[in-house]
Amino acid sequence: MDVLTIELVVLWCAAGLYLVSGILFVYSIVFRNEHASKQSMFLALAGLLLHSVALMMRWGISGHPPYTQKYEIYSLSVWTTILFFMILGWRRPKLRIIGIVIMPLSLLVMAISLSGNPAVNSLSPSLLGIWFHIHAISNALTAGASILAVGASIIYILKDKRQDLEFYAKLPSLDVLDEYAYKFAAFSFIFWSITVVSGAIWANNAWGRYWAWDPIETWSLITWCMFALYLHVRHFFKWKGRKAALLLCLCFCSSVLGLALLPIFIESIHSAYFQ
Amino acid sequence: MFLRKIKRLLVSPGTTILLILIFLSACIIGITVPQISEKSPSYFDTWKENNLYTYRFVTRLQLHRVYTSTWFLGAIGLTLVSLGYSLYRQTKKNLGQRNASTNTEENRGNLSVVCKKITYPDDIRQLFRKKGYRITSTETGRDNFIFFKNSLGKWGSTVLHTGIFLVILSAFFAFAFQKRGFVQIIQGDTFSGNHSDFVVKDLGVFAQDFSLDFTTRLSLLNHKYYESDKIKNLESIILLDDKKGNSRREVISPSEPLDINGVRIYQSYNYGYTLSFMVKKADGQEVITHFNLDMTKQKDAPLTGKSDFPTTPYIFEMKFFPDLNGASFFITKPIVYLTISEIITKDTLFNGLLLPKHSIKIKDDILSFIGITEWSGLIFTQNPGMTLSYFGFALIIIGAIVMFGFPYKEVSTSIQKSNGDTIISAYVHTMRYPATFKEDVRDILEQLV
Repeated sequence: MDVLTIELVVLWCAAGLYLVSGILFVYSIVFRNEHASKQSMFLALAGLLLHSVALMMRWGISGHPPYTQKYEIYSLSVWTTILFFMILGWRRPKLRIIGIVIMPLSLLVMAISLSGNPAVNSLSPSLLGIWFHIHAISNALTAGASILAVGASIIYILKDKRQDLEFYAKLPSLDVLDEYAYKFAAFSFIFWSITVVSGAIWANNAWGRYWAWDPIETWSLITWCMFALYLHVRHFFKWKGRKAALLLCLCFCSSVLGLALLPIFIESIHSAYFQ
Repeated sequence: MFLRKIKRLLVSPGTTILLILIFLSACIIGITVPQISEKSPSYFDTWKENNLYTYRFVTRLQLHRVYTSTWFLGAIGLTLVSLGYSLYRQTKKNLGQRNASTNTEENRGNLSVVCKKITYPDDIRQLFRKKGYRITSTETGRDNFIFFKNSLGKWGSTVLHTGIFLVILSAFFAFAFQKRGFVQIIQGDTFSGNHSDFVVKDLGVFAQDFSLDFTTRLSLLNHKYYESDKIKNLESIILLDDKKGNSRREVISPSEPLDINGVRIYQSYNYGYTLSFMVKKADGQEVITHFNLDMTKQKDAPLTGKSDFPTTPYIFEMKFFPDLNGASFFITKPIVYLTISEIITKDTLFNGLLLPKHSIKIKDDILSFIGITEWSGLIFTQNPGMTLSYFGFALIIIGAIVMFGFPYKEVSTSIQKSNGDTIISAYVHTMRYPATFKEDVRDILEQLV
């Protein structure tokens, strides 16, 4: 077995652990079993460790950090999501329950990653600058933060609907859930700002223009504006709770549309990185 | 009165939201409606013929050039004014306030913790200090303290919005004054730097002339590939000569543009081979022409081109195989598959392979394939607003981090004794995240229990 195959096997094992962890999260909610919730955290952690090994192997094989093609970009995004989730679960045990949303979403992104071509991509000259690395890393961090934000929003909507259930009483209060969604949305906004800005500087160095109104970069600006809109309506119009949660879900859908779907349908200079 | 109304309207939340929505709509239109910057004029002619009403609607609202449309530029101008005035007010407010506690009830909260042991004020003071809080100089009593953290947090919003203001301002600068030109330089040739010698120019609405005070000579173009056909390295070695006679040798690659005398030079991804031919006419006149062929995405694929040969009645259609070990018909040399036809009659006069340094006879003329060189595409730009943009970018990021990562936090604590217990009450207020802040403060106070 060559190293690339071993890396692929390790990544599939990590995906398997995430899957089992996700199933256990669902089980813990359906049967209100707290023990299963703890076990699912351990499984997610084991998956994260294997995933880290796979990414390190990938880095070793290709000779460059793992974010230059679809297979790598989505894999790194899942890794950051699970890492953020682990940190959150460790610092705020009550919030571990959002794993019921995080794990399926992460698995979905992982499935997109695994559907990509795992053959090692060679770096083109335009990918040599530091700004590309900042752009790609902050993009992965945005994915992680926004998946957590949408996870907290979905749990908020669920709890808001069925507050009478005993199980939901164990969850953090609606205010705290709402605020975590806000916090993660704010972090998404920070990382997204870094992504857009570093992308603009990188484009200026590589192509002589910092903004060319290319569909993908325009969509990234749309998503940034959507997050700005969310933050503004929260601040000015005191949008909280369900309304804010739904708007945040819409922001998340916008980023998914821009990063995952648009490159498939629209010709763009960015398309090559998502194939 | 009227001015006050205008001022109030400029900084009203409704205006902000409206401007964001206009900007969002423009972006969506830019992606979905075909833009004149992307499509050829014939595309719009066909559109006009096929669907006149839609075409009229789109052109009247300037949706086919949305980013330069009057309404979009107007909205951006309004954004600039609104942001500018809002920044002035924010700065004035921040400078006038001792701290940045917000007046909204949602950002405040009360909590109290009962300690079963005696708690001294110093314990509270030390505990909060350990958590990174500072104590204000104005204590409301011996046992009452006001702690605060992240006092810079109040400037986050101002810094972020200043960054956005500068980026928009620099975009207006670029729109008005930027200069941009593209040239194809053949290896060994010199670009004069004159305005008229650029192949393509893109000037701002107030920019007149783009002439450089130096010449650019291409010494060498290097392009290397991976096995997968993907380009590995692309660089031009150039010689720059200014009017004072100073000469310098520089290397430009896509990730390393060159800055010289306020002009930035970029390596373009347009490059290729130059085929040089000479036609010796029957009357002895010699005409030399260079054809620049664009490199293809597959390194082994032939480079193609079709063009007329100036001052002759011939049209050349070329298929050039540069790679010696690739798909060339001829194993040891690069070769061109050439089709020559007459402009008027369209008759094919030659159709076959031609090697470098070889000649063929076409009617009464003699055509010689005199050489193969390479050409490189270079982009020259001058944008006075670029430094402003970079400064704006930096402020956006710093502002966002300060605003959302380090919001201002304030805790007022008081100690009361009741039935032998110590009750510590805290009054918290913050710029953001009051519920989690309240939880954090409770966690801190519970360490005293």
